[in-house]
Amino acid sequence: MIRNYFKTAWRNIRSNRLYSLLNIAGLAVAMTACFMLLLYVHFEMSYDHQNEKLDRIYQVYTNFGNNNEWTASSTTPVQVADVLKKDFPAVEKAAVTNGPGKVLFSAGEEQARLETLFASASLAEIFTFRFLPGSTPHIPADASSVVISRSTAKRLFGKKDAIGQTLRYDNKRLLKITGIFEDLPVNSSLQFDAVVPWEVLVAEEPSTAEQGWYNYGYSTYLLARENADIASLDKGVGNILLQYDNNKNNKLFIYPFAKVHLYDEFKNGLPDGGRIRLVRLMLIMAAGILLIGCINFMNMSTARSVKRAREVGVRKAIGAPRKSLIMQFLGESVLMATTAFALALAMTGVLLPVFNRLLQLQLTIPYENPLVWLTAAGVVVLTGGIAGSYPAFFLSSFQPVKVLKGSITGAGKASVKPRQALVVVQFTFSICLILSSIIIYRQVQYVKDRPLGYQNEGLIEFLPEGNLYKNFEAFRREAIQANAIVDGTVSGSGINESFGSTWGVTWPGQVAGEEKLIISQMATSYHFVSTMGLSLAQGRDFSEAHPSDSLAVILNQAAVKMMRLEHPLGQTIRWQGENRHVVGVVNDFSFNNPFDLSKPMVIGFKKDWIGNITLKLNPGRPASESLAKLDRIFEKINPGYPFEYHFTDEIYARKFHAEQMLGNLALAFTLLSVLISCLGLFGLAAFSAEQRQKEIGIRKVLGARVGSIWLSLSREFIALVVIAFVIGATASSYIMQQWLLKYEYHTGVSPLVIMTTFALALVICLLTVSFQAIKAALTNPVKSLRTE
Amino acid sequence: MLELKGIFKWVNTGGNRVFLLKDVDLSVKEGEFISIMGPSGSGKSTLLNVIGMLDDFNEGEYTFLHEPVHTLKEKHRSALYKQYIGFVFQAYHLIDELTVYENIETPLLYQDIKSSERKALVADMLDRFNIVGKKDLFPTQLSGGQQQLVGIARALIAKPRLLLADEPTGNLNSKQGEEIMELFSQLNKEGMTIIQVTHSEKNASYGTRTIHLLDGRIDN
Ligand SMILES: Nc1ncnc2c1ncn2[C@@H]1O[C@H](COP(=O)(O)OP(=O)(O)OP(=O)(O)O)[C@@H](O)[C@H]1O
Ligand SMILES: [Mg+2]
Repeated sequence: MIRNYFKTAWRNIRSNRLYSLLNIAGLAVAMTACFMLLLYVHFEMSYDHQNEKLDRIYQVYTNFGNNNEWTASSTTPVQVADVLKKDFPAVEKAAVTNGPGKVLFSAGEEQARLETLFASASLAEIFTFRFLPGSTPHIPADASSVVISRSTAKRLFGKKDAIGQTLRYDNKRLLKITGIFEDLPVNSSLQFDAVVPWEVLVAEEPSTAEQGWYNYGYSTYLLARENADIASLDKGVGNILLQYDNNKNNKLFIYPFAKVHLYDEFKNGLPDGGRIRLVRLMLIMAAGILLIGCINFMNMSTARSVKRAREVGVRKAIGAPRKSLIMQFLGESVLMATTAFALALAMTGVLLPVFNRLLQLQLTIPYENPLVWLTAAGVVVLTGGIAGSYPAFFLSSFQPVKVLKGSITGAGKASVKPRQALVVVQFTFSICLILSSIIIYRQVQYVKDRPLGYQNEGLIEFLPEGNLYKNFEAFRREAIQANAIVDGTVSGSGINESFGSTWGVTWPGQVAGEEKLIISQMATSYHFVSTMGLSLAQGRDFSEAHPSDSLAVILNQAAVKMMRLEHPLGQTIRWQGENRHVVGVVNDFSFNNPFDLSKPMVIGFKKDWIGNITLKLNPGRPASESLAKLDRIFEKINPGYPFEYHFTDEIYARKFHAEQMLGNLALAFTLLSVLISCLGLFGLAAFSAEQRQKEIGIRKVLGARVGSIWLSLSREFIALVVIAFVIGATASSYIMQQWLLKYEYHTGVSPLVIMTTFALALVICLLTVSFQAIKAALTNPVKSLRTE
Repeated sequence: MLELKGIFKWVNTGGNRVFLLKDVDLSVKEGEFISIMGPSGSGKSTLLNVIGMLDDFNEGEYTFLHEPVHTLKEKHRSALYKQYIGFVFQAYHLIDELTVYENIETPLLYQDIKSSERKALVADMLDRFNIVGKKDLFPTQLSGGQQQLVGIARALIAKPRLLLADEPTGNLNSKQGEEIMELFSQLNKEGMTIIQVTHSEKNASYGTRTIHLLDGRIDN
C-alpha cells in the first residue's frame, strides 16, 4: 500500500516537473532561511550557557539617580565584592573585575596586546573556565602569575608548552603562566585573552585598593547559594551604598547573569529589553519566511489537487476508504516537504558561511542536538500536513461521482478564494520587507551623508603608552619634521567619542536646575582643533602663546545655544570645579552616536586626562610611507612598545555596524521572500493559464489578440498585488516610522519610497505573471484544443 | 440482495428542480443478471451510481444486504462497498499515474491482501483479458477499448458479489464485446450478481431481466 502511494506520489511529482520543482524549491529556500535565522536565535539564546552555575550567577548593577531619573550601569565601586562576602550569607562567592582592556605582553621577542581582565580568584569559582591539563585550575591570587587562553598560548609560544613560561606585563613586571584555559565560546558575554590576578593590579596601582566609594569603575559578580532568597538578597544589596557610603542618590541591585546578554537595556533604572528585540525580530522573520514558503506550497498543492480530483474519485470508487486517501495525500505532501528539507539542509550548509560573513557571526549547525532535529521534523510534518490537508480532507469528502464527473470544478473554484488570500498574505509580507529595507538603507545613507564637522581623512589614533605621556610634544615635533604628519594632539578620547559627560557646569545667566543638565566633555591639550580640522565659528584654538589657556574652554555651537550665550568669548564657565574662560566656539561636529542630533560639549584644556593620541598624516605623502616613518620615530621615543594604530574614519564607520547589519539582513530576506513569493505566483499563473488553455484556444480562434488575453490572465494577479500593497505599505510605514523615531537624526517615510516600492512590486508581479500569460496567449490554439 | 424503494434524486439548476430519478423501486435478488436500458440521458448511469453508493439520493430507502444504506455513515458505506461491489465505469477512470498492472492491483491493496496472493490474482486477470503484454504501460498509452478491458479487470479482481457495469462494451469491437458478455454470464453462473447498463439488445439478452428507464422513471 505504502509503496503504491509512494509510486503515485513520485510519478505525480515527475509528471508535473515544473510544479514540483517550484513547489519543492520554494519551500526549501524558505526552510533554509528559516533554519539560518533559527540558528542565529539559538546562538543568541544560548549565550553564557557554558557556565554550569548560570542560574545562580548575578551581576551587581548600579542605578544612578539624577532628578528622579535612574540610569542603570553594570559597574560598581571596588569594595562591593568584599562587602557581599562579609555581610551576605546568601552569597557563596563574589568577585571583582576590572577591564577587560588591551595590555601589552611580551614573551621574549614575541609581543602582543592582549584583551586582559583583572580579576579576583573567585571569578573562576563563579564562572566556568575550562583549564587545560597541566594547568593549576584557578585564577591565581598572587602578583606574579597569569592565566591565558589556549589560542593566546599558541600565538605567543607556538607548539611549545606555555605553562611555567613567563610573560612580561606592560614592559614592567614578570608573570608566570600557571594555567591555560580553553578559548571562551563566541557566545560568551565575558571575552578576554588573559586574566591577570587582582593582586597585580593592586601592586601596580596601589590606589585601587584604598580608593573611595565614588569610583564606579569595577564589575562585581556573585554566586548565590542554592535556594537563596534572591528578593531579600537584592533588597540587602540595595542598602549597601547607604550603609557604607551614606549615598542616597545611587542604589545597587543584582541582575541575573543569564539576562545580561539579551536583556541589556534599561529605562529609568528598570530592565527594558535590549538585544532580545532583535532576536524576536529574527523569530518573526523566520516564521514569516517559513509561512510564505508554506503558503506557496499549499497554494500549489491545492491548485494541483484539482487535477488530482479524478484520482480521488477513482480510488474511492474502487474501494479506498477515506482514511487511506487522507493518508495518501498527507503522505505525499510530507514526502515533498521532506525532500525540501533535505535540500534546505544542504543549502544551509553551503550558505551558512555567507550568512556568518553578512552578520559577522560564527554559527554552526548543531547536528548533534536532538532538539534541532525534533524542531526540523516538526516543521516538516506541519508544513506537509497543512499543505496536504486540502486535498486530503476536502477532496476525499466528496461523493466519488461528483469528483469524477468534474463537478469538482466547483471544488476548484472553492479553493481559489483562499488561494488568493494566501497570495495577498505572501505579497503583503514581501512588500513590508521591500519597504523596510529601502527605509533602513536610506536612513543609514542619510546619516552617512551628514556633514561630520571635522576632517577624518588621514587621521590615525592610538593609546599613549610608556614614554608617550611625557614625550608627546617631542614625538609630534619629530614626526612633523620628518614630514610624516602635519599635526597631532593628545586628548581624553578620540574624536569619535566624548570623554564621558558631566553635570554641575554653570554659566552666566543660568536658570536654577540647569546645573543638573548632563553635558558631554572632551579633555585636550594643544592642537586639538587644528588636528581634527574642526571649524571655528568664533575665537581660537588653545595656544601655547596664551599661558592662561590652561584654564580655558572651547564650546561647540550646541553648548552655546543651550547656555543662551550671545557673546560667548571671554565668558566664565565653571567646569570640573574650576572657573574657566571661553576662548573659542567650534561648529558642531559628530561624536558618540552619529544618529543623534548635536549635543552640547565643553572642550576643556586638561593635560592630565589623556587617553588618546590623534595624528593627521601628511596628505602630500603616501600613507604607507608616513606610517613607516612614524613606526621608526615611535620605536625611538617609546622602545618596547609595538606601533599599533586605528584609522579614525574606520572607527567612525563601525558605528553603523548594527544598522548596516540590519540593512543587509533586511535586504537578504527581502530578496528571499520576493523570490519565494514569485515562485508561488509563477506556479499559480502557470496553473491558471493551463486551466484556461481551452478557453484561450477558443478565444484565439474567435480572433482575440495576444494583448487582450494577456490582460485577462494577468488582471487578477495585479489586483492581488495592489491589495497586498495597500495592507503591506500601511503596516510597514507605521512600523518603520516608529523605527525611525528611535534616531534623533532621521529621514521620513517619503511618498517617493512608497511609490518606488509599489512600482517594484508591480513590475516583479507583472514579469512573473506575464511570462505565463504570454506563453499561453502565443500557443497555437489548435494544439491546446486538441489536447482536450 | 438489494432493494430500492421510492428513490428520488434531483438537482437544482437556476431555481428549477430537475429530477434525475423519479420514484424508482427496484429489487434485485442474489444471482440475478440485470440489464438497464434506455435512451441517452434517461438516468441509467445515475441509477447505477446510486446502487453502487458512488452517489447519494434525495429521497427513498435503499437496503443492501439488509443494511439500510441511506442511514449508514460514510465509513460504513465505504466498507460495505469495498467488500461487495465492483464497478466498471463508462469513462474507464483509470489512474493515469499507475501502470496497467498497478491499476488492476489497487483494489487488492485496499483489501489488505498479501503480496504473493496479489501477484497471482493480477497475473490471472491479465491473462484472462489477454493484456499481459500491456501490463507495464500507462493508461494514456492504451486505446479506448484496451482501457475498458483494464477497467473491467480492475472491477473483477476482488471477486465482488455485485458487479455494476456502465456500458462495459461501449468501446469494444463486437468480438471483444461478445467475449466480455460470455465472461459475465459465466461469472453470473458462478453466483455473481450483475447489473449492467447497455444500449444493445443483444447484450441485454445475456441477462436474466431487463429494466427500461425513461426520464428517470422505470418504464414497465
Ligand atoms: N450534476 C448534474 N446536474 C444536472 N443534470 C445532471 C447532472 N448529472 C446528470 N444530469 C442529467 O441527468 C440525466 C441523466 O444522466 P445519466 O448520465 O444518468 O444519463 P445516461 O442515461 O447514463 O445517458 P448515456 O446513455 O448518455 O450515458 C442527463 O439528462 C444529465 O444531463
Ligand atoms: Mg451513462
